[in-house]
Amino acid sequence: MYQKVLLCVDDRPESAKAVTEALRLARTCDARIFAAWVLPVAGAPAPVRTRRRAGIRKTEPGSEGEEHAWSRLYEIEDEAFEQNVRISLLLETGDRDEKLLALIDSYQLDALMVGTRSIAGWEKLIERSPVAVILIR
Amino acid sequence: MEKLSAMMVQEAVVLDLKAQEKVGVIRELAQLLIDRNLITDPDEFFAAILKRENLESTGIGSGIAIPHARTKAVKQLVLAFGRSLAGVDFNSLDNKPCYDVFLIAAPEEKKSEYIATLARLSKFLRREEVRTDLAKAQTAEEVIEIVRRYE
Repeated sequence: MYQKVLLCVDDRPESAKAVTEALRLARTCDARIFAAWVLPVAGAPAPVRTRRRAGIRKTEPGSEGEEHAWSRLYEIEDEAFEQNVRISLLLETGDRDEKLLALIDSYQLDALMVGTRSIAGWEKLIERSPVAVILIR
Repeated sequence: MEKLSAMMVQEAVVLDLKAQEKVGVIRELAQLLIDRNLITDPDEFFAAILKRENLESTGIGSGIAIPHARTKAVKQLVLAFGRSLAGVDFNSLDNKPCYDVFLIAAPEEKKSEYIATLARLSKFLRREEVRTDLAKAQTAEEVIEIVRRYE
């Protein structure tokens, strides 16, 4: 079963569901979670819905968006701690798909978990991912 | 939220940590908070902070570690800082030693402030100029002034 799971985190409600499922999976498999938030590069705003839900105008390095991302990551860490789940936090900047694929390679991860309402926008990543991609609706 | 510089305890700033391994560094910094009666139950605090260290690495890369705990054993949210000249292995994801260690001690009921402090500190320490200035600091006052300047 999975031992090292990459959890893609953002502000969408589906992402919160993915966090719950990732922690459940980790408890079941004694897996370690790598929770990653990928910020867009400076000048490339996040999708409008993400910005509106986060209550921020931009998510770019050095901005309030970075602090917001860390806050969410540490909330997840606290949740994991309460459940005795091993977790590492990663804040990356750049193209989402490229960064997630690079993390999978760097840390030899064996699954990627994403919260999303639909597969739209994730097709290329799924096609290129060398590991299982678990979509949580 | 209170400023990071206001949370720092001047007497809990160490410019040349004696300890050379992770648990020793945590104990060295925590002892300074215990000595100032900021931690009421040292055993409970150590248990909480070491449990977290066993579950995850608080080394966030770039030579930084932020060991932290939120427990009833802490009176108020405070920060201690230690600088290791040799570097300490905190099992960071980047596999590099840590030179700057910020220890956060928070009361159980201050969850949102604790999370906000972790987030602000993590963002703050990703700035290379902050790390460069911390490496040059000669006194505890200078360290706190650097935090004040950049936060």
